[in-house]
Amino acid sequence: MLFLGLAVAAGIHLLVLKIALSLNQGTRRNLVRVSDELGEANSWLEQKGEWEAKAEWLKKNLRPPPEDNPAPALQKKAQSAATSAGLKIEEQNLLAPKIGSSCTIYANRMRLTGSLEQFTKWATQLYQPESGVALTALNLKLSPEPPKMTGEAEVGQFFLGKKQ
Amino acid sequence: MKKGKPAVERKGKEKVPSGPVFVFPGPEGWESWCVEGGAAQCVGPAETPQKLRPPAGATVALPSRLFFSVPLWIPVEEGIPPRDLAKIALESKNLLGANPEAAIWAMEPIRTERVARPGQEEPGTRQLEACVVLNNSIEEECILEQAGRYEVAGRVLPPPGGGTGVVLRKELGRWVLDFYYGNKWLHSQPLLARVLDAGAAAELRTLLAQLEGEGILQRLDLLVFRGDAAEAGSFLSLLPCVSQMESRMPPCLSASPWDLQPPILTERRMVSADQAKKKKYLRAGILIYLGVVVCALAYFLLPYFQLKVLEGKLHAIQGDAEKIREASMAWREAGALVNPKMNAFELLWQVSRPLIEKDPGEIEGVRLTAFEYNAKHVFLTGEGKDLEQTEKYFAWVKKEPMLSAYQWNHPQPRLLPNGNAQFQLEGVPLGAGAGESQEGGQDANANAP
Repeated sequence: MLFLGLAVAAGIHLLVLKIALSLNQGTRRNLVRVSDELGEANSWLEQKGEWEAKAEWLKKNLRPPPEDNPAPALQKKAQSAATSAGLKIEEQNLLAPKIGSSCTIYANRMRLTGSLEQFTKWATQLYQPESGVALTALNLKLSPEPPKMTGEAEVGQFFLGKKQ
Repeated sequence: MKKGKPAVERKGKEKVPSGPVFVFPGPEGWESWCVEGGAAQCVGPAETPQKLRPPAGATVALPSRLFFSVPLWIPVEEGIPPRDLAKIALESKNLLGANPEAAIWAMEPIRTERVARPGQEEPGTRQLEACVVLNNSIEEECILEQAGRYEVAGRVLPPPGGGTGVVLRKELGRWVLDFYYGNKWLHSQPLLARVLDAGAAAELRTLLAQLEGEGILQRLDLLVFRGDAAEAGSFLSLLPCVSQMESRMPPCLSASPWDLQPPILTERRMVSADQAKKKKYLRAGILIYLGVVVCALAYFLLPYFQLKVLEGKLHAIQGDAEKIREASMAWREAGALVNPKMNAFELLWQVSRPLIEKDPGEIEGVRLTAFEYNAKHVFLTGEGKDLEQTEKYFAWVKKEPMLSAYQWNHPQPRLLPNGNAQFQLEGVPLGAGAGESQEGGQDANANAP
């Protein structure tokens, strides 16, 4: 009877220990996760001044999306700059606006040929931070007739997103 | 004959006796005696010694019914201890029971006298011993585990005076005679008579004659009656000796006290000690178990409390941190517009600079054949005249501060048939992996071809 009682008590203890260890393992996993999240949150707080200033800059300098579609004007601007720089426009098309978490981007995709100098001149003319215009994608390759180059570019205009 | 008042001060049971305590068989019941501030204090009577709740170390005075009082004459033999001779004498009277070694008995020498020895000219010496053998069937109620000593009741009472004296006292309802010689207790004998009358006087006379006949009692000097004067009545006048009345005396230990511990008490004490030892081990075991449980609880609960504390801290700053993180994501979304390190032509210039400038100049024979830029990565394809120059170019790109917004990786360059090394180099915006997973694919610049 004594041995039976001891065996039952030992069994109960082992069961409780197993459950407790299982719960403890989960708690420790959560502890590591929360600790990592806390570390990341603290590191963000340390950079608070820098990022708040940048967010303020975006809020101040990016314009809200106009009521009429700005894409045709952007296309015209990009086309005019390319012609002015001496690039040959092989193909171009307007892309659907991309609505991000903080920005909305209207873009015009263009396929161009010309020298690196002409590409550089075009990009320089096109880059207008105050108007929110910049190259969002560029794929330059040597054409079969060097030093001519084939380029595929996206010219984007940035506007404030919904959250901004 | 003198009449005296008993010097007994009776108190209620609520008083706790202090100092040396005697549990004494009084006239009506058991009494607890102690000396407090020079005055004798008595508690009782009670039916049993246990009801008196004596303190540890108290002396229990054994009533005459619990022992055999045997005054013995033993010869004085050189080289033989008197105790051995007394033991032989007691065994011959069959007083030590079936197991004499286990019998509890004590003796005290009273006096010696010279006697003629049959068949020898030289007289011998014999010694009178006051001897007591504990009754085997001692009453359960008299067993007190906390008692420090068991004594004979007559031995803890003051003797009546020098010479030969007898004390008549009432003990638990029976009359008892205590015999003393030279201030030493000699013998106790309960009377058969319940009432002090002529019958009792005759019994007493017979007893005295018997003891005188055995040479135990010489000429009786004095009989002292310690009891209620009303009970004595005319009894003392019937006695053939000088008698007087005295008040009751408080008990006190003699110069050479005995300790007649009942064997059952020793057994009980051993059992108690054994149980105490077991309890000690059990208590230690329980304490160890509780200690282990407490340690286990600390081990299991500590991370839980740590988690709760960290969750509280995280909750307090999570809102602000999330706003800052969103600001950084917004900045990265607009990186092509606002961050020179993520501007397409700035990047093209930076990756081309070591190939077209003479400074640093140590990279020669490397050219780029394709440049691909979008929000997800910068991908370069090129050729180097050998592996060494290609590796130099890789090292330069990775160290250049203006290219530090990207993490640069490359597969092993491939050797072309002409000996040139064709390479690919990919730069991924720092934190893009984590950002994309957190954003759930909402990257506004996810415009890869």
